[in-house]
Amino acid sequence: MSNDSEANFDIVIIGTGLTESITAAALSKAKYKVAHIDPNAYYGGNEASLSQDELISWGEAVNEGRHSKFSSFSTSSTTPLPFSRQYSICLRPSIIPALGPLISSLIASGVSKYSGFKLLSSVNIYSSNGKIQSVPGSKEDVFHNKEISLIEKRRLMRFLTFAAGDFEEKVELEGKKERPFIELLTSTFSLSQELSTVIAYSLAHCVGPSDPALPSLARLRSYLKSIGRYGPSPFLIGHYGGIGDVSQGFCRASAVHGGVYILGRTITEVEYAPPGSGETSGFTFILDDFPEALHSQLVISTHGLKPGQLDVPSSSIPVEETGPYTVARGIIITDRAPIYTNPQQTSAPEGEEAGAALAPVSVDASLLVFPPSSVGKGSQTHSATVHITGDTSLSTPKGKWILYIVLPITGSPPQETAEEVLQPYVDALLALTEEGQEPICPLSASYFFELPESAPLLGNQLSPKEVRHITVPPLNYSTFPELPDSATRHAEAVFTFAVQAIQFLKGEDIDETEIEFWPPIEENDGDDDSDS
Amino acid sequence: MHGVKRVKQTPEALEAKRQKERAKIHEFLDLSDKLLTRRKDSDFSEESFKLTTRLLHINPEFYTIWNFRRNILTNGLFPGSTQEKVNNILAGELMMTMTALKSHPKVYWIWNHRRWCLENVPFGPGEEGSETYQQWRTAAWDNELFVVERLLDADARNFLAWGYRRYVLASMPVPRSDASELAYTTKKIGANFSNFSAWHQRSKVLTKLWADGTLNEKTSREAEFDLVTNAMYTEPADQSVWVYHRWLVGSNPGKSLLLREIKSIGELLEEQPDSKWCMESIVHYARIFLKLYPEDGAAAGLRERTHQLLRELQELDPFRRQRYIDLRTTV
Amino acid sequence: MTSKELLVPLHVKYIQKLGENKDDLTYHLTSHLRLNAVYWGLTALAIMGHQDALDREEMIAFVMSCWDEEAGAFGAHPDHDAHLLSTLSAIQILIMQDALDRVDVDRVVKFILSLQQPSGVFAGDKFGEIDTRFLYCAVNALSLLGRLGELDVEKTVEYLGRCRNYDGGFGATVGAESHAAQVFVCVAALAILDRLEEVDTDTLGWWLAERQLPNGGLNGRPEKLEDVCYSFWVLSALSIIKRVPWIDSDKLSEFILSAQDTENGGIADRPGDMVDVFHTLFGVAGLSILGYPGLVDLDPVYCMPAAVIEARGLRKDWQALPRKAISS
Repeated sequence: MSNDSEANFDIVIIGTGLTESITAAALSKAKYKVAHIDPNAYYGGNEASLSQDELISWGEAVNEGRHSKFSSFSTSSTTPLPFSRQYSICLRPSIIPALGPLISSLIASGVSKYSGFKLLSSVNIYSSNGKIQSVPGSKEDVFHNKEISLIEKRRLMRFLTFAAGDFEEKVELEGKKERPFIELLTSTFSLSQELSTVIAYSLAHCVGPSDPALPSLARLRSYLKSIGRYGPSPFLIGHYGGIGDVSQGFCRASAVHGGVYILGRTITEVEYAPPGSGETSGFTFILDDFPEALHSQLVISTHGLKPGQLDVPSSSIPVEETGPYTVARGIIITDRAPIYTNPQQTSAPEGEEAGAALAPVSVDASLLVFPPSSVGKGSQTHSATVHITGDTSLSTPKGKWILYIVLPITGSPPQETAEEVLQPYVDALLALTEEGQEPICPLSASYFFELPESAPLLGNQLSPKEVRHITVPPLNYSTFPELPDSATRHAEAVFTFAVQAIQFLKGEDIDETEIEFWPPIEENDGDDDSDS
Repeated sequence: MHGVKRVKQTPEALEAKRQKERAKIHEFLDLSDKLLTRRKDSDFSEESFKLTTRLLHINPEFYTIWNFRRNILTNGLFPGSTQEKVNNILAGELMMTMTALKSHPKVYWIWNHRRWCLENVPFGPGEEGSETYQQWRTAAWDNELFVVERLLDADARNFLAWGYRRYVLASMPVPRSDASELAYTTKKIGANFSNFSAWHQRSKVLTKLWADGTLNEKTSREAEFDLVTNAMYTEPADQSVWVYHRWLVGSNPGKSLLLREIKSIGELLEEQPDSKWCMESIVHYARIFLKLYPEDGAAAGLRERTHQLLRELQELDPFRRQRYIDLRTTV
Repeated sequence: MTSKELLVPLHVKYIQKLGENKDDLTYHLTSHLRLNAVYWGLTALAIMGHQDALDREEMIAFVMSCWDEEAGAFGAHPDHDAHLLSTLSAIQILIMQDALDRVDVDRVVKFILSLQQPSGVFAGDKFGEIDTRFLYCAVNALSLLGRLGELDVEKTVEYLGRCRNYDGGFGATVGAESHAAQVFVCVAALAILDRLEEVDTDTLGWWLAERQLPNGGLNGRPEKLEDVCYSFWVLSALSIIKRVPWIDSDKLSEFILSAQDTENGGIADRPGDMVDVFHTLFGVAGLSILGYPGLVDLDPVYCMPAAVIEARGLRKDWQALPRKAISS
């Protein structure tokens, strides 16, 4: 920034987490001047994808209390692994539904062309006897499945057809919308406990047995509709660590449209001059080791990165309250993949060329779901999700795998460490080897807790005419695939609110209805739907 | 005009379209006149050949021009060419028609031209019986199977492509095994079992495999019952599955087989009490039973059940009500 | 906009104007179907009672200009090669216009018979594509010319029998999947040859009846979309085996009528699509078989006005629905 006018912005956004990054891209594309600041030296905030050596430093910072969203980091790696820079490890890994707000934003913003994506290869479920089942989510899966009885196939298909349609007013759901989803499956649809477990945890991605029916069905419907858009799986995963790289992609889109990026600088001083105090009204930011002050009319930040103790008119965006889960997270790096054969692939019918009979499932880019009570000493009340990625999603050096373990826990962090909480799952996972072989020995294992953030008190909602600081809604864990779409919904709400506030500050008429999140792409942008 | 949406156009838009098309019409008519004249004059030159390429690119349905093109090949370009050159020319023809098929997968004339090309691929160098003698032909026909599979990937129900597939399989100098064709139908059905074309092909292939003893008919037939029953329970509203089931049961089935299948479908009907196809199929097999085994102890019960189901079908499936009424008079 | 009535004057006008589209690219790109299109248009007009809407002499002159002197049969357009498809259209037109005397029938018969293959099926032309469609063209044309006696009937019927599938339907060649259009050509050919005992009436009736979809339209094969042209293929076969009541005629009529272009005339494959003369004929033909009021009877075997066929003593034992009275 060479001259003073360039240090004047419409909006300063603090933090480059997924929500803030999407917001930044949308505001820049809408031709607002955006400065995007992050005290971290990397993009992505709480959703960042880090290299393995960066993860070690990040863990130290967590234990020093410098990342309020996380606590109690422990790791077996005190020194970086070989090729540590070739790992892209996401702090909050996720999968992206093939239909939903994030994918729409990726396409509409043109960010999809900056990132690579891969279809999730399989979803499997761990049953208490140590067996792995694959999950029938489509008509073809049900047809091929050899483990489900004929009658159950019919019931399952009937349920899936119901779940894919307009079920809200159907008689099957009358008086049961708030009842547990699993109860609906076993009583109304007469499905066995075993199959109901599979549906609830690995198709609808429920967290626990009391998850209510209606939201579970709504999630399942959107996943069923996602099937076939890019292939048989309803989910994509991003290259280079997934949504961390996606966050960075949105930042890049913002930069392409004039957004200014300042990473690795903390804000040392903020001043706020209320309107009427002359030309300098608004915010003035002084950054550590940065020559120039930045000025803006409006600030957007997460709760945790609120600028100083300024008494400015601040508003948060109301969002649906999601389960205030503490999440125990594990990141295991291995040089052997867990092995589970696909039980559905029985030998080919007589006379046909024996094909992939009992071939191991590709574990790269897959999920393995542990329902409640499936492992001894594991959680009785919540399901754990294991996400495995490797070199086909360009997230590891060749021949290495990252096994993410994600277990939500209700309430505050338990007495045990994250490592202790997750140990039963790690043991079960690493024991998935060919018969007679030793369990997998991890190259590195790191554990930590992710803490729930309570949403700032609502009720002191300001109108866009009054607000000067917008708090981004907290991005808490609700279910495994929900994170990226929640972030996108939050980003759209923040964007709309911010545009109205800026319109007011600039003396324009506030547009209540016609603010488009992603205006149609100009033809010479050449953006097309190139992901998948 | 299959599947082309009707759009309302303003007179201005129509005029603009006419303007735009005028040049194309002129080009087409000019080419067309030139070629029809050359055809009358039996002008089988290289230049005529090139003109046919241009015209067929604009209009691949112009069969007269395909005919002329073949006449140019036979009377103009092949004579005096080495066998190798002929082979190369035909390889070029196959490339050209492949491109045309991608945008016009249902134009008979293109398929027809490929047929002609394949049948005219020369024998390779060397003596009859030597390794090289069949190599051009084998390569061309093997590639053809690959081509038709790509077209079936794009549209798994294209009946021209299926028909062509059967033709290729029957004509290949080194035939594919029927077992591998069976595996192909398994793959196609597995990808989407609403694909009746694949079930149909399967019935034809199995008939051959049973007849020549490659497969044990008894065990293979049972495996097919498993397969189709699986599909039936997965999606009882899918017609293709029930039609295949009829083939599997056949026209002269044994008593126990009939009773077993009636029972099995009955169980599905209990689970899915509104399934038209369950009712309709029970009626069908019950009628066969009554025709073949009228004196059997089970006949009276089946007769009553058939009447009951036909009454229900009249209400459930009113489009075909008269058929159910007619059938009742025959039971 | 849709109409519950057949918009006869509009369709007549649409057909009359077809020849005036010479500044439309599509018109020229369909020259290889011109003679067929003339037959479709003329037959549709005849069924709607407006055969005179096109000039007779001009039409006959056009047909004769399609004569391929070298082959001894008709191409689809002047200077196009002779083919069975266009040859049948030419004969159908000339018979409807009562002008068969213009043709060298002996040469045409020779052309047709030369295309029968050892298997019994016919090729479409000397380049050898085979299909039961061509077999029907040959049988139909020979019958119209009164020269069926020169056909090897046994061989022909035997081939048709081999095309019959277990679902009662027929395919394009031996081994091919049943398809409603191929069912029509095979069943109609057998009807002309008086060999309907080759048809498994009950099974075929079932298969044809199941072609009707919840929107009233008919498809051509299981698990496919509806299309107006199947109204004729399926209905003609049903009427030849006397099973038209096995489908819901009111729903089918509604479907056909909903595919009309209510502004410019013509009928499309489905509601909202572009119209063409092919679907216009087969929509009108379907309605005639369904007894739509005010239409002329169609002979489903030859797809020509029933009176023309009766006059030549060729009527077969088919059954359409009785003609409904025009409601006032």
